[in-house]
Amino acid sequence: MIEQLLESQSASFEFLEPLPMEVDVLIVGGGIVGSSLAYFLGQRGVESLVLERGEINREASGTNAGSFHFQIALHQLTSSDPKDDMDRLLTEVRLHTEAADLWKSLEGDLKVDLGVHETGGLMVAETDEEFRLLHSKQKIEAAAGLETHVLSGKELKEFAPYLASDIKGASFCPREGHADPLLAVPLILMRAQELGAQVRTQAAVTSIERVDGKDGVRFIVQTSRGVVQARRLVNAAGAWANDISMLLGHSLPIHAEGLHVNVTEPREPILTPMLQHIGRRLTLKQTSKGTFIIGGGWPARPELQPQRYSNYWASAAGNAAVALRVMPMLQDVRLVRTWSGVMAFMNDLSPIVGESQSLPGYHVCIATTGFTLGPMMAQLLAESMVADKDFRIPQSYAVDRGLPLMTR
Amino acid sequence: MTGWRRSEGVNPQSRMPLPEGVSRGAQFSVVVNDEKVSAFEGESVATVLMANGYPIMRTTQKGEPRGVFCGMGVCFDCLVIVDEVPNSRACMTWAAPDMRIIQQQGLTRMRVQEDDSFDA
Repeated sequence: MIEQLLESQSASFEFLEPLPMEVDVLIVGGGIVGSSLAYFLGQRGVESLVLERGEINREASGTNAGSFHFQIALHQLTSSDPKDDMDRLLTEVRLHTEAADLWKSLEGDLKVDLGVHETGGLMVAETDEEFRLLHSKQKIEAAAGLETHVLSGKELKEFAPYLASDIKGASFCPREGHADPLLAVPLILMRAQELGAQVRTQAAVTSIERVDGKDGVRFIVQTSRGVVQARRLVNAAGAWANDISMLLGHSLPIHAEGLHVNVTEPREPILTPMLQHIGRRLTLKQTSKGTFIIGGGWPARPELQPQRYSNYWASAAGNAAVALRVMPMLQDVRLVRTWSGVMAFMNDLSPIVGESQSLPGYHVCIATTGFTLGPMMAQLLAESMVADKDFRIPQSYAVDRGLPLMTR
Repeated sequence: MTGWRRSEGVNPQSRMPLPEGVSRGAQFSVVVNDEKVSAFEGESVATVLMANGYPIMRTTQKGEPRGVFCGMGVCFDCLVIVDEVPNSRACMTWAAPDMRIIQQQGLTRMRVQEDDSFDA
């Protein structure tokens, strides 16, 4: 697989060739969403060009911890009672099960190893209140068709002997797991290229003109490497999507958050599922190399331009303390490295997927928990762009919802 | 595995001859696996191991031998268990009297505490 990837990297010389004059679909952003969209469009016979300001997979898609989050998580809950968010959560969990199916079949469809492991995931509760929350979220998950089990007492101790003995309970989702964030995007993009997608890197978009002519809509896009025209434009720029959108005078309800991941030295295999926390920021998993990856959304300093992000040492310490609280036997395992990445965070917690009603031809595709849901959202958009399936994108994902009502 | 224990044909007390006017630090002993060997103040664990015929310090998960490669703390090849602390870099750890050094095989175990409750 690595050989295949290295071979495909030789194609990256193509990434620096001059831009084509025009293209059907222009995708801005070479992360997991842009690359997956190029693949799913290619599968449907639609030509596309992926434009990337820096290098492929260098931002959120390649710097996250690679976890699949299918259970309802802390960041999705806006109130302490999940019933208040019932409709949104039901929709989201149904899509989560579809994302689980997609990740499971993606390696087979692409005939590549993306490092997908369905290890299961445990979400722990420390307090009685958190434990009650596990039960109420489990009901929503069951209603949406996602298998989860709430474990406690002796049953939990036997299932997960590595947890601190005073953990109140945990919900287990057999479908959770992870993929390799360093492999996924380059390999998906390699397959997209085989289906005819073009890729250009080091091409930052500087202006976008939308022309509504008699033979339809055209986008004239100026980049740092020249101009390209497109019939349709897809904004897949993740954390920087609003900057791109504002070039069209169109605002998106999104902001960037820096976040932080740690990795430890390798130890004997002991932890199979991914661990999460219903009330505190934690994801913890052991890789096949024996190292523990500790993340969960502790803040780092967000940066405006793509570059490496600074860490907050308080975040490293806080993140490690939560990991230790849940799994005390990590106490003599040393952290060897911490790094930070960026995340697109939607102000109303819903993804932004679809075509703008106010600017036809302009599309946006940004997932929440982008690594887990990115390919799934790209597939939804590809389906709607060729209209080969019923329109399945929830209304709450609407592209124009950030605009003042007057301009919609 | 060849060379895992003391290497054949290596003088167990081989150390560089000292130039005139230079003397070694105080002599003491450390324990390598179950063997008591001699060490001098100012030597690294890597030096003590090599001077006593242990050029191989650990094995990888696949059982391949590893020893001193960079000698300056960067490559993490010379990992040993020092006084129960696994993954200690032999090249970056000073030898000390009665230190207990164990060659590391594959991934090291987690220490499980009797009382695993955690006081945050």
